[in-house]
Amino acid sequence: MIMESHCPRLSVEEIDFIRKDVKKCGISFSHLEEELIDHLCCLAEEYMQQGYSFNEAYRKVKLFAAFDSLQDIEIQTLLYINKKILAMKTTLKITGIAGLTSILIASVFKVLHWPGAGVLLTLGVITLAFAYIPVLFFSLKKEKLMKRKRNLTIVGIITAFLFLISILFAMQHWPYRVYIIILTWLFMLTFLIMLFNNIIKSEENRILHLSMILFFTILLILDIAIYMVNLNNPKVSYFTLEDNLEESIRLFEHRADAIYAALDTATALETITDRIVDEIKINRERLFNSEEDKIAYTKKLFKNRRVVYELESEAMQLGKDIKQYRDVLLEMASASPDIEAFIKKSIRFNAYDFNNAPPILYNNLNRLIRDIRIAEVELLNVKKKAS
Amino acid sequence: MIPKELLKGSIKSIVLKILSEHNRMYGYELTQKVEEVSAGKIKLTFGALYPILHKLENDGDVITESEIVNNRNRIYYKLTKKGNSTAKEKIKELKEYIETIQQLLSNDYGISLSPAIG
Repeated sequence: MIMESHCPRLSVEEIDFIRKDVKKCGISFSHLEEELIDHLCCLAEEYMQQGYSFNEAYRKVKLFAAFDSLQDIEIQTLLYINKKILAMKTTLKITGIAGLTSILIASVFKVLHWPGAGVLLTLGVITLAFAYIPVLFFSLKKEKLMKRKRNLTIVGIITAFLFLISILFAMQHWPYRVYIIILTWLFMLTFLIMLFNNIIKSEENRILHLSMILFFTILLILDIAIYMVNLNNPKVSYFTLEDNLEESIRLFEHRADAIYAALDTATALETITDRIVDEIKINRERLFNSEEDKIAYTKKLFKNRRVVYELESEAMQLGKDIKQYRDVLLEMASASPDIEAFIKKSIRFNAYDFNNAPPILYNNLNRLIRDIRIAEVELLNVKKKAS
Repeated sequence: MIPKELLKGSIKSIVLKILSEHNRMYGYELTQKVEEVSAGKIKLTFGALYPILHKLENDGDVITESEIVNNRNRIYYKLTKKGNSTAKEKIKELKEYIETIQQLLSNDYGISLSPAIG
C-alpha cells in the first residue's frame, strides 16, 4: 500500500474512459474484464508518476497493451481452462446469427406475403430456443455469472425461452398460444422485479439500468393492453370509418350520369363501370351487412388473421376483375397522362387487402368505388371534348 | 530480457512462487514484482499472465477476492491449501529442470569433477 500512496490516482472520468475502451473489446469471461481495466489503469498511473499527462500516459499504455490482443487474452484463457468453452462461444455466435437472420428474413417474407415465412420463422425460433439458449445456459454456468446471480440468470433464461416460443405460437396461430403468452408475461414480470431488486442493491450504472427496466415495463404493459383491447373489443377501431366517402361517391355518380345523358352515343364505359362497382358493393355488403357481421369479421381476423383464405375465391376474383377493368381504363386514358397516372395510383386492389380490419377494409372498398367514379368522369370529359 | 520461448513453461511456477510469499496479490502487482526481482529481465505481459491466473483459479489453486480500490474493481489472488502444495511441487520441478539444464550447459556436461589434464 506504500507504493500506492505516492502514485497519482486516476479520476473517475479517466477510469471510465479506459473502461469504455476495454468494453469495446467484448470480453465476457468471469472477472477478466475488470482485471484488464484495473491493470491498464495501474499502467497509466505508473506513466503519470513519471510526469506524463493522462492522455500521453494512456497513449503509451495503448502501445504497450495492443488493444486488438485483449480479445485474444480471453480466447487464450478459455483455451487454457477448457476447450469446450471456446466451442460453446463459437456455437453461440453461429446459432445466434443464424436464428436471428432467419427470423428477420421470415418477418420480411410475412409482410410481403411470400411463401415460406412460416417455415423460416419456425426454424429460426427453434434454433434460438433449443440451441442458442441451452448453450448460453451452460456457458453462463461456466463463466460463474450463475454463482453470483443464480436466480436472476435462471429466470432470465426461462423468460427468453418462453418469449421465443410465444412469438412462434402467436405468429403461427398454433393452439394454446394464449396460455403461453400469459405465462411469458408472468415470467417477464418476475424477471423485471428481480432485475429491479438487483439493481437497487448494486452500485454500477444505476440510472442506465433503471431506465432500461422502465422501458421494458412500458413495453410489457403496452403489449398486454393492446392484446386485451384487441381480444375483447373489436369495435375499438370503428372511429376510423369515413362517412363522407358515401357522399362523394354519390356526387361523382350524378356527374357521370349527366355526361352520359349529354353524349349522343352509348359507350361501353358505362356498362363495365357499373358492373365493377356492383361487384365491389356486393363484396362490401356481404361482409358488412350488419354490425354483427363486422364484429364477427373482426373477431375472426384477430383470432386467425386468415380471413382471406376463407373467402379466397371471391377475393381473388375481385382482384382479377379490378385489374382487368384497370387495364381497359388505362388504354382509354393513354392520351392523357394525368388521368393515366391517377388510374395507376388509385384503382387497384389486392386479395390480401381483405386481411385488414373491417373499418379499414370498408373504407378501402368505398375509396375504390369513389376513385373508379372519378376516373369515369374524367374519361368522359375527355371524350366529350373530343366529340 | 529473457526471450518468451524460454520463459513460457516457467511462468506458472514463477507466479505460484511469488504468490506463496505474499498473502494476496493482483495482476499488476505480480508483474511489477517479477520485474523487480528479475531486475527487469522478465516482463510478464497480460497475454501471458491472466490466462494462467484463471487456469489456476479454475483448478482450485488460487481463490479471488474482489475489492474496490481507487474507484475500480481490483481482483486479488490468494493461494489455497491445494495451491500451496502445487506451488511447492512446481518450484521443485523447476529447480530440477534448471539444475539439469545447468549440467547440460557446463563444460564436459559436468561429468569430470576435476579439470582435464593435458
